[in-house]
Amino acid sequence: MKEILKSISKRTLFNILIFLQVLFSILYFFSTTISMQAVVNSNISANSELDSNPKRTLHMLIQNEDSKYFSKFKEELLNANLVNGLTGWRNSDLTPDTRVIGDTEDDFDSVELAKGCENLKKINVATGRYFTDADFRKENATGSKSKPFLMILGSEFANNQNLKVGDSYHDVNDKYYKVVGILEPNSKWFYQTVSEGMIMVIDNAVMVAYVNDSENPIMHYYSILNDNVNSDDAIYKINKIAKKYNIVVEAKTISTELNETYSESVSQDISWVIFSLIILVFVTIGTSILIVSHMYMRKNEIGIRMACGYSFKKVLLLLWGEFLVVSILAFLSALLIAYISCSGGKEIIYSAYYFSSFHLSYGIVLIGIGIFLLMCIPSLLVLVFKLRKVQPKDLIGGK
Amino acid sequence: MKILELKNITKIYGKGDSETKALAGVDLTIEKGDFCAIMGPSGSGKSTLLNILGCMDTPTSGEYILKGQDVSKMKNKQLSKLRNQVISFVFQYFALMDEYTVFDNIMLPLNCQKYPYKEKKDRVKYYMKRLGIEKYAKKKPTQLSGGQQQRVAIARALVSNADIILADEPTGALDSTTGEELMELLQEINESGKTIILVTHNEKVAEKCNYVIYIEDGKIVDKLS
Repeated sequence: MKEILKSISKRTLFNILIFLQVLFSILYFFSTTISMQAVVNSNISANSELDSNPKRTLHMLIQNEDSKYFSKFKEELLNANLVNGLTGWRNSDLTPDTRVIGDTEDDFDSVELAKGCENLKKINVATGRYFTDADFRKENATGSKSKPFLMILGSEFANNQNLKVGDSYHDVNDKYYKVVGILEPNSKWFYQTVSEGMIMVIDNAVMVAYVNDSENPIMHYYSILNDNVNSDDAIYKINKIAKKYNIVVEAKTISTELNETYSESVSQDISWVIFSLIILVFVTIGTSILIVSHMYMRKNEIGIRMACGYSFKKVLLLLWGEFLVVSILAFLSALLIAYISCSGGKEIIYSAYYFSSFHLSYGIVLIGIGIFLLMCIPSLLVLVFKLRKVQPKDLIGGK
Repeated sequence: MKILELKNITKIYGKGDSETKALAGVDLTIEKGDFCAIMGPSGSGKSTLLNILGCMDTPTSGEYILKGQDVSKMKNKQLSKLRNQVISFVFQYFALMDEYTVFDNIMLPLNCQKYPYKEKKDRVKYYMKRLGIEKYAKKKPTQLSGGQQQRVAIARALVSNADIILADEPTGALDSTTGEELMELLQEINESGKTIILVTHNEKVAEKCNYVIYIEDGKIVDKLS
């Protein structure tokens, strides 16, 4: 091994070239397959985390909720007997009153849930209670000391902050919150939208009952279709109502949204994966040619080694060793870069972490190893064939 | 005591019309401790003979007995073992690896031998000292003069403790004074019990040897003491 490393160090430029070739081709392969996997994973995680039927759950992107007609739109929509409620959430942050100005590290993730969210995904409270209808009313919760907002804490957050049911929490904006419950450990909620497939772990975060706030409106609304309603009809009628009140709505069922994203992304990603495989083939051919031409450049050295007693096997192992050490280093570097770029599949925004669909899975690593081995085989074989033909006397030339 | 014996060795390169007979039935016996020169015109088969003697090439036919073993029937692995432990080479253009230091170059044959690194290191140091090149240990061959490079090549040939040293025009790339110094060194090595066979065009070099073998058209035509 010492001899292999020494030999590598004597040919820095050549080895850097091999290293970079393998590194970038494998890295590109990883990035395309991770992207491909993310599409599939988003679909799976959204479906598995959602308790309601994705085919019967509408996602409505409402872009001018702050308009004066929104409440009328909402009222008419609910009266039309199309959907069972209109709910949604906002991912936000909570700032403790002890925070030093500018230091966002002290902030906590919070999810402001509107009434009815529990119909989309069950929320399990370990101690205390879940929100009641009254908790979402503006007249009951203003954030003042006497009418605090109501919140449910993540288990880790409750422990770290030493808070229990009934306690109060005061934030830097002079708003008061009252703890009504503590979640079971490992409770999860969606980040931004269901279809994005990013799942937030609430352990070190809080859930707050959302009280209508025209300054910070919810943009993504969800509704579960009533049993006798056809989804296409419902979307048509919703658009009609929205137009009446000059509200811009983009409504789709979650399954449609997931399918659209899936087919669009898959067709796009497949072409990138194919492109990355073509690159790998070219890199493999290029590396083999480079290895052989380099072997010819080193024929004098190989001849000297053979004249000094190196067997065919020992020379071959030396050349193989050099190539494999550099290539394996490049592969591991690509693996590390890919892992770091995906943050190991977890993303931290304030205090909570999110399972991202973009991550280096064992499957991708295994496929990567397979591809890497396939890439190495031609270079290794070509060395055997070329070296087998040489005799030490042919290799030692004059000056 | 015979150290090597060639019996009716032939070497033919190419096939059909392009066939060239480099050696045409060579018979030769070398005794242990001999210091022998091989002379002959260009294309007479000197280098081919040296390559076969050094197990760097295999004969087309004939028998090559080296230290009692028939080399002509040996496989590559056994031949490389012989090149490592029984035969060493000194080449006209030194055949040193330019990227490596003098120390690494001398260490080269020992990389194929299995004993502790410290012992190998001591042995390399010993031969560097013996040949007066210890101060160049960390230098690259390209930083040395021709004579110094040839001393490095000789140190490399001695370090593996081989019985036979084959030298192909060892003074060919050196000026006459350095060449003479080198021949004195080879004589000294020969006196220590090593068998030396060298190929040369130079009469003065050949005179320093115990005897001279003349080769012409692939055949030994004369042997003079």
